[in-house]
Amino acid sequence: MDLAHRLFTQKKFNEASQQISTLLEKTSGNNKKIVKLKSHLALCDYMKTGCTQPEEYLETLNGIAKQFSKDLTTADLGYVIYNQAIVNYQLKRYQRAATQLESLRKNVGSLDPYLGFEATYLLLKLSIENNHISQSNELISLIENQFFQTNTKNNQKNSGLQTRNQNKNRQRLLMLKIKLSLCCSEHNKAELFLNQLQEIKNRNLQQQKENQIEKLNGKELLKENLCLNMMRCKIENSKMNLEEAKNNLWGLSKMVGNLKTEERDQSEFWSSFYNNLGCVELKNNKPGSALFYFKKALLANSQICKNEKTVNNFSKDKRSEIMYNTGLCLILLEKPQNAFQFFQGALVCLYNRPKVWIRLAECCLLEHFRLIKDKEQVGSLNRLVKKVIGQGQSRTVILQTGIGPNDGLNIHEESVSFEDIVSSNVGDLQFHGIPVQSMSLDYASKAASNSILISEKLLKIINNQNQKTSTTSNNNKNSKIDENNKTQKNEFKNGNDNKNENGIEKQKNKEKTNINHTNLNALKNGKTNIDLDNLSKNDQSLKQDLEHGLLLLSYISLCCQNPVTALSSAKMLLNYNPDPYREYLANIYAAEACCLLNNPNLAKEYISQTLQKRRYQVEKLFKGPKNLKIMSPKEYESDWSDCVTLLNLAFVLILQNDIQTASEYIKQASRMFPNSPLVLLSCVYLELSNGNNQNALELLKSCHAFYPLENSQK
Amino acid sequence: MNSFLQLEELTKLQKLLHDQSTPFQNLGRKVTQNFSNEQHFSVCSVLTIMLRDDLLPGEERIVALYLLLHLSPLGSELKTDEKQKQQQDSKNKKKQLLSVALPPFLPVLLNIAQNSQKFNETQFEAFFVTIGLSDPNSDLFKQRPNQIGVNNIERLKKYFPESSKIDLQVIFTKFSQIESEIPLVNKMGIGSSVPDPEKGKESKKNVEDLIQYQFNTNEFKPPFVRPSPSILQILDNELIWIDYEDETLLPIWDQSITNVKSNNDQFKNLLKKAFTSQLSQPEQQQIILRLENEPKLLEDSEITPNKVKDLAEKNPIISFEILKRFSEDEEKINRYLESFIQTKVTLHSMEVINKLSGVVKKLNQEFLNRFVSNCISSCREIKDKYVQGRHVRLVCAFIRSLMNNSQLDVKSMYTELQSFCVNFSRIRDASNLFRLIKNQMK
Repeated sequence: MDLAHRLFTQKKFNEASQQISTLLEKTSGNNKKIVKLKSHLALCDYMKTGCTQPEEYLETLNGIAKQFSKDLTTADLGYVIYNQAIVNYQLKRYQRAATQLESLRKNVGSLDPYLGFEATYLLLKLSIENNHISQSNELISLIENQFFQTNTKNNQKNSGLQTRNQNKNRQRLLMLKIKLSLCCSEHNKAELFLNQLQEIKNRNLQQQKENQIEKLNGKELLKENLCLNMMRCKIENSKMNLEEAKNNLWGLSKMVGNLKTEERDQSEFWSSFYNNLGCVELKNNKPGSALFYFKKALLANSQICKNEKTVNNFSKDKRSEIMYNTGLCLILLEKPQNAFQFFQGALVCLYNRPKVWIRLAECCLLEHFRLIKDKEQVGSLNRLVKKVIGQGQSRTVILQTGIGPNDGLNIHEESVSFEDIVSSNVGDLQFHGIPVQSMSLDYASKAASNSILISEKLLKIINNQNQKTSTTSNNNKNSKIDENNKTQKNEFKNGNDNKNENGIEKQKNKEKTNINHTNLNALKNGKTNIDLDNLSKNDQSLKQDLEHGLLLLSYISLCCQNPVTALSSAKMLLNYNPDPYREYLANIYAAEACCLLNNPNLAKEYISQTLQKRRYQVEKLFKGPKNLKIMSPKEYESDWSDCVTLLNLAFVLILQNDIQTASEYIKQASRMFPNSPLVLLSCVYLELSNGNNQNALELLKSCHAFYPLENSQK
Repeated sequence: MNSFLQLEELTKLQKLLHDQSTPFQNLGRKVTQNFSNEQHFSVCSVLTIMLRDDLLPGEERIVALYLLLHLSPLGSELKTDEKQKQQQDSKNKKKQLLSVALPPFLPVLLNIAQNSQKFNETQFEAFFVTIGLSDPNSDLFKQRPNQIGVNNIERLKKYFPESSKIDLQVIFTKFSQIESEIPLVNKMGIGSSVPDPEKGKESKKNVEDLIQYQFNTNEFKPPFVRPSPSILQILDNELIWIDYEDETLLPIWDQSITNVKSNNDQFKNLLKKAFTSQLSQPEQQQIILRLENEPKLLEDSEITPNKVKDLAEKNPIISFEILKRFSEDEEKINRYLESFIQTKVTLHSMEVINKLSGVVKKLNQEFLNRFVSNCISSCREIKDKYVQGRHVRLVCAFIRSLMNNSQLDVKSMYTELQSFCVNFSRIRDASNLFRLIKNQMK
């Protein structure tokens, strides 16, 4: 066996494989030994192919685990399970990897310490990447207690190699601690850990120089250095020291740029360098410049994809992440169509992030606004009069009517041809195989539903973890933890993990199922089952995602003439106690849905909710980037919310045939915004419905900007 | 989706409307020939707009009304009705009509016909529509439009059916029933065209434009203002920073064959150490954890009964954990417990047996009696009064615990226990124990 191991470390995989096969033939009865030999054999075969056949390797490992799961414990199958997890991790099947590692964590006491550390470390890494803060903290204390504290006394007895490994592991753990601190926006803590790490590295270097043993080669040293300094830039960026972050990044690029040509296989560095530089620029409100860098990052990243199709290269491919950043950039540059394509590309790996779905829905909405705005400007005289036809006694005015279902973006998706899918151009960049679906309101509503579903799921997991933490302080902690683990496991099992594994088709089906699920269960009731009061600061953004998803769904459903979903999602949002801005909008959407559902009394109740809080100032409450021209400028004006409430109340009163009170409200609105087309339209309607055509025309003519008769015949 | 008629098609329709010398029925056939079934809805829409906005002269309005009647699906309902009228009584007819969905353009015709229901005989168009609705095959429609003339009600009167072939009242009831179900929002719309006559300029109509704009415009309603949701603010942590990693994670070679061996060795060494010296708490935990996960380790660890007794003195918790695992095998546990009798009773040995009594269902009674006897004897052997007193208190507590766990058969040891309590009656714990024993004996 030792010989086989030696051959394996010398990368003589064929010979190692032969050696193990011979041993396997001679072995019988001892299951533990058979498992080890078989997993070694599978590993050699996998390495022989240059890690290009991960599925076959996983299949073999699965077979081994299944065959011996009855006779052997999880601890006995530890290496098999860990290797499955690591390949899944590299294939970006994070949820599956997490479930496998979780089973090892439960048995960490009986695992061999080397495997125990590696499994817990990888789980921690995953947990930080998924922003599971409380779980990450638990894992850090587990690693520190299990692998570092108890061994301190024995350190002196350990061999030099073991000490060095432990030293290395401490450094790896410190790096994860920095990442976790940054997730929690604890910059000082991150800086402290980084300085500790730097100190350890300097001391090691000094020792290596003094003892002249096992020096790291130049390439490894450079990589370590780059990694550390990139983290420093991340901290600076997180602290909003943007200039410093930028300068440091450029410093790193010079360091790599000065390398000899043969050492410059650094696509991985350049892709992260340009991406991070783009992040700094975008934070600095320079979306144009950021877009330039993100495109460069994508180009550098495409070099990684061009390399051999190994699992390792696949895990280094950060296309989804860069595409997501590019999409954000394009939203700020008011190019929703292009942004939509990039977010679709980002979905491939980031499908379980609610924000990607929110951004996709927002792209559709922005495009919808743009089309409506274009329609208002092109081919029509103004926002009140659509056309003046005829002359003399026969002159007739055609009034503008509201936005109908055929205005703006199509409700239903258009079918996308195969050519569209395989060669979608985004600016001067061309991507292959990105599933580009057409923008539609229907797609937007699906995307919003998915964002709701995912954020709900994640919040449930956090709820469970919070429960777990609180029960740990009680005496009966063990049973509770098991329950929670089971719940988590089920959550993961039911999650979207398959999407990445089974391709886009399954993803689409899953999306549809998700939407059905959301519509049928939660939305029908308009009730919530998650406790959102005890969320930590870090989890608040998830709550925001959930609320925003519901708000988008409600709005889009109204655009799609689907008042039932609009009402139920608005009700659900109101149950979550959203911030005043979302509460205000949810009440308006619910009221409109009630009107469409022929229930003006309930609509009035919802509008009264906004009336009670009439001091909403939309300008102050507006949360989004204000510089988007696509959005109506009215939406930022103070007092506009009051005017909206009055007009909508008048609308409901007209429905109830209370024209007199309605006209009083419209007059009030007219005093606030005399030139608003919406206010004028309400006034004109009142006059026309009373048969006062002349008054209506005078109202239109009183505001020349909306009745340019001189140009009517052009 | 219904698209608006092309200019040529609109001209074709206008030509038909102009034609006053072709009988109505022939005009109906022509409209069916010139326009496909898909275009019928658009044709009807255009005719409705023309009628509503008064875009046609009187004689053309009559043709438009006829075409609308002809293209209205209710016309075909009525035709079928007539064929079957001999077989069906009027009651059935009413029932049948109530179950029929009304065509979309019927309201336009009914609104006009309603005037005739009010017996307003000056309403020429109302008469015309009523005849059309009541009897689509009336002889009236064999006439040419110019034969009938405009507003000549007298000419129409002779075609007015004496008894309506269809009960219009049923249709009106159905119409009002449907109308009541239409959401208020859909009913609040009004026409979007407003006549704005201009003085002093030559009148110029642009019928095509008017029709086109009307066709493509919804009804005019007051606005319900729906502010759009804002774009979610891009938070600092939303941008994805890519960490440059210096480590490559790969599957690992299972080196645990040697490690397992060394782990087992480590366990054995730790156990060996436990026989001779007290272990630290983490060391004790390590042994317990290994025992929990791999109970089979005990089989290879060469533990003997005497060793367990020694272990109880140095590390009672480990000794208890081992005995607990042996307790399933009665013979084995008895063998191991025997060693506790053969040596002197100590505080630690009492602790181990006490703990064991809490987890094992029933300890061997003979062993317990002998062990308790030993405990009692050990009290007597101590000369130092202070130490003796302490030891007695411990033995009392031990016996009480055994009794609480229903392990000790008091009857079989009554005499011995009684004499122990009496001997040490100066110690309160012993007298308390005595009372307890007496109570139990009762």
